[in-house]
Amino acid sequence: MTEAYDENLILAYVEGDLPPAEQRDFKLTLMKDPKLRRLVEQMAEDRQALRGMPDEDAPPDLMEAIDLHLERQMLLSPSAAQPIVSPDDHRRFKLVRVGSFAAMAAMLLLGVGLMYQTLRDMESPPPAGSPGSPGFPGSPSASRVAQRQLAAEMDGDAERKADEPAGPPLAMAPQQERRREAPPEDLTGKRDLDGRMGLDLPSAAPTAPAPTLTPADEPTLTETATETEQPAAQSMAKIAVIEDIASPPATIIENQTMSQARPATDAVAPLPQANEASGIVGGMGTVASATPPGVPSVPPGAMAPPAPSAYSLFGSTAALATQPPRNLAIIVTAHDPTKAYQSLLAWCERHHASIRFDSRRNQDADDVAELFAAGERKRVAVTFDAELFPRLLDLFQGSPRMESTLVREPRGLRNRSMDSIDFADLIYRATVVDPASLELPPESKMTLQVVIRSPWMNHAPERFEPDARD
Amino acid sequence: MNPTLEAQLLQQATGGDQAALSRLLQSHQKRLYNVALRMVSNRDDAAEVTQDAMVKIIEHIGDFQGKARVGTWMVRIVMNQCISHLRKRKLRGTTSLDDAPDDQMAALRNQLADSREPDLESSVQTRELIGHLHAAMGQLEEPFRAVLVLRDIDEMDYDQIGDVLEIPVGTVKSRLFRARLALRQAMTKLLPTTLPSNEP
Repeated sequence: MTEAYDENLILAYVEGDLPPAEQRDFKLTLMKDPKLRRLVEQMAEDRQALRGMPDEDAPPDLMEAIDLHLERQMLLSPSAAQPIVSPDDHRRFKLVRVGSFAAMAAMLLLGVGLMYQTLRDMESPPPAGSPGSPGFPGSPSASRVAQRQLAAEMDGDAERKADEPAGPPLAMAPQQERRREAPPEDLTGKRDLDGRMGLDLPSAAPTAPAPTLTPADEPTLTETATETEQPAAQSMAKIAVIEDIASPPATIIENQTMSQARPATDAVAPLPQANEASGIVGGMGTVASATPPGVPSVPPGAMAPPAPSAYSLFGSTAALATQPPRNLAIIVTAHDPTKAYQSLLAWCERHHASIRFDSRRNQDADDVAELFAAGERKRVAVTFDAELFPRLLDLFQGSPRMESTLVREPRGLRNRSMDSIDFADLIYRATVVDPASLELPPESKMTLQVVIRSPWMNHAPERFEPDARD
Repeated sequence: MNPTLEAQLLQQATGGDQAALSRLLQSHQKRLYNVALRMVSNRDDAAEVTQDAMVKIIEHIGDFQGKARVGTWMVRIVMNQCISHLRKRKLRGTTSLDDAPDDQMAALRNQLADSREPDLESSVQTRELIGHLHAAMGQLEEPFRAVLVLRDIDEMDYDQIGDVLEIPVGTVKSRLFRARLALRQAMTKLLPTTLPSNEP
């Protein structure tokens, strides 16, 4: 119907953008065309009604979540705490970079000049026996000759030695003579490393023997719920997703214990009190270790308070008490935490997920082996596509070493992003989690806090019996 | 918000001041939320979309070059997030506006009627109109809905709409006209008897 009319004219009239004269003309047109008039009137009514729709107030927790995000960003990412680079800074950096290049160029020129000077000095015939003369021990040409002769000797080519072209007789270089008699150690070493001599070398970096535990030797775990579900012989590790990354080991234990007796939404005791009450001592992973309770170590670069008095991520319990709904926490209890961590690293690499170990990215697993051996649990923040979450679950629960998986959404938060999953009511166990049942929104990122720890951390000192292992 | 104060907060925020960024977001949150609400027609979804958009704003505040007003830039991010959300929802085949819970619609209608209508008859009419308008908006394609939301809900001018949707002003006008036409047709389908049709 409207094809015959000028869209812009009608729109301008409806929007009230027409000048008075044109408006009068258009009104005359409308008088002659009731069909158009009706349409224009209705469009104007719709416009009026849309504009009259009242604004609603934003939910009160919207800004809370954003403020938490800001705080968390500041706490977890040292780079976020640094000022964002402004265009002025860019210019300044550019100048600094140009200056650096200029300095490097000057150094290069200086080096070339010195080299040129050295070559010129070498070209001028020095007195025999003086430094710089070809026969002088240690001079470049003498060294070359010695290497060639050594190679010839090793290849058994005696004639080649005789045909050696220029160069002074070896008798002029007593040190070289000695080197001929006994091949230099560094060259022999090189041959060893290359394997030409057929020597068997020990492995370059002996790995620390992983603690091997028989099921009977395993310390009794406090998570009785998981033990009853899985035979102890298969139990190597546990995973529990808890409310808050800031929860201490004691809280985790209590959390799991409570989950048997009470609904999953039950409150979790405050972290420090729970820890004190249970008398849990962390750092019991090594027999000889006198590691103090497993307070998470704070790397130097992290935005940490001076002393982490409570079990909290960088001491910021308040900021991390509630996480955005996409941020879940997983506790991985593994008898070989290093291996668990390596598996996680490999998974992240395979799926292009970013992993942050405390405040540092891509921490080498070898570097943390000692920390794990000392009984400390370690946290990583893994950010990945939400649709990969089932695969990550598979990583941990698909292994026969895993005892159980416990997933729980942070309490008290609405689940907005994963409508299809009511995490508040879900407790996944290793045997019941079906990744296919997890309908996660594609193309959205989620961050999972993963705590990897040793099972020994769950044990009070009096219950840990290292002697029983011998 | 006072433009001077906004500019000051923006400068501090781009300089890494998280508190200033928080205040800036606080001052725009209602507007952003309402844009999202009119786009996705569901409070929870709108809150989620707004939150996601705000996270993006936090992450990219350093990229803001000041070519448009910061509010326009934020609305653009929200709009992109809404469109992405609507596409995902369409893919999942869930939640059309027709299925929107009655209580949400009723709350909106009541709020509107209480604030705007003096008598019962017009109040009922307005409630009906708003209800159908809401449903009709939900039937529009995303580009049409977006241009209507920006023009009528956020009251942007053509240039700002062009900035947000990254289309020329001529396209904005053309799209707006077609959106109004599509809305009217949707309304006519919803109200074949109570509202007069386009036919004479």
